[in-house]
Amino acid sequence: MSKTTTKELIKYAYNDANISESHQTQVAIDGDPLIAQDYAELLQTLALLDGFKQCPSQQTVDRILKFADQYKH
Amino acid sequence: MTNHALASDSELVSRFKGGCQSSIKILVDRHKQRIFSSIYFLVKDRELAEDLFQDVFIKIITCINDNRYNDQGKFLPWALRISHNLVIDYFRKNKLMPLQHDTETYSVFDYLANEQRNAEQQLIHTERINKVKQLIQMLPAEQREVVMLRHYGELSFKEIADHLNININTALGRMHYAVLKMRELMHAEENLEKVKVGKIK
Repeated sequence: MSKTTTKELIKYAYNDANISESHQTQVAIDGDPLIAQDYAELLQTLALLDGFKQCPSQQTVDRILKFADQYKH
Repeated sequence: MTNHALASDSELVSRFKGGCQSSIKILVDRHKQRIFSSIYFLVKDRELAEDLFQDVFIKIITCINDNRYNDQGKFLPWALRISHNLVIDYFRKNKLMPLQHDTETYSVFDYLANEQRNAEQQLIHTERINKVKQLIQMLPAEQREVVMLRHYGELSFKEIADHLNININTALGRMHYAVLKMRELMHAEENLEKVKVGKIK
């Protein structure tokens, strides 16, 4: 019986598991439709968070580069 | 001719120390989204996030030039630790509670980048942002912090545990509960949609 938990799926999804853990989780996903569904839902949830990624303004970046200029050798 | 775009972070740091100014530009461009998102997610104020982001890189540049950069090849986790510490310092200095919830009149999501979109794309984007907003607002502060560091900062759970001085299982647990909570809300929304469709029929 599979003991794969959501915590393990999270580690796997983020590529944060070691080789052995990754292998076990992959086997669990491939062998258990419920775990596979859990994993799909997890990825769907995490994908939503991508909508929030932001960048600083070019003005801020330019100020940083200007600051770095004082270290020109 | 050296190709900066393909160089590792460590190589770029070394080149900058050696006087190559363009290498710091590559480092900023490469990591600005992750670092800025992680700040913005916590402070919820675009102007403040811009200032803190600038402070992060000023500190990074100063550290590199003073030979105080010693991250054993892990530039991003090091930069994110600096940014997280600066955010915490800001809250301490201003006697504010970090990770406050949005107010009725202010929301970090109101300031999301206004990219070029047509009306339909804008509507889909707005719906998506509202959904994420709901999901994130539901999370307790300590769970949001782990989500920020893992998803936006891309620190490993081990690095998050070290940085927050918590057990790795606690870090994983917080992410776990954050995901469960977000999923719960998603299911609730889907069920609501089904009910709405049922009523129309």
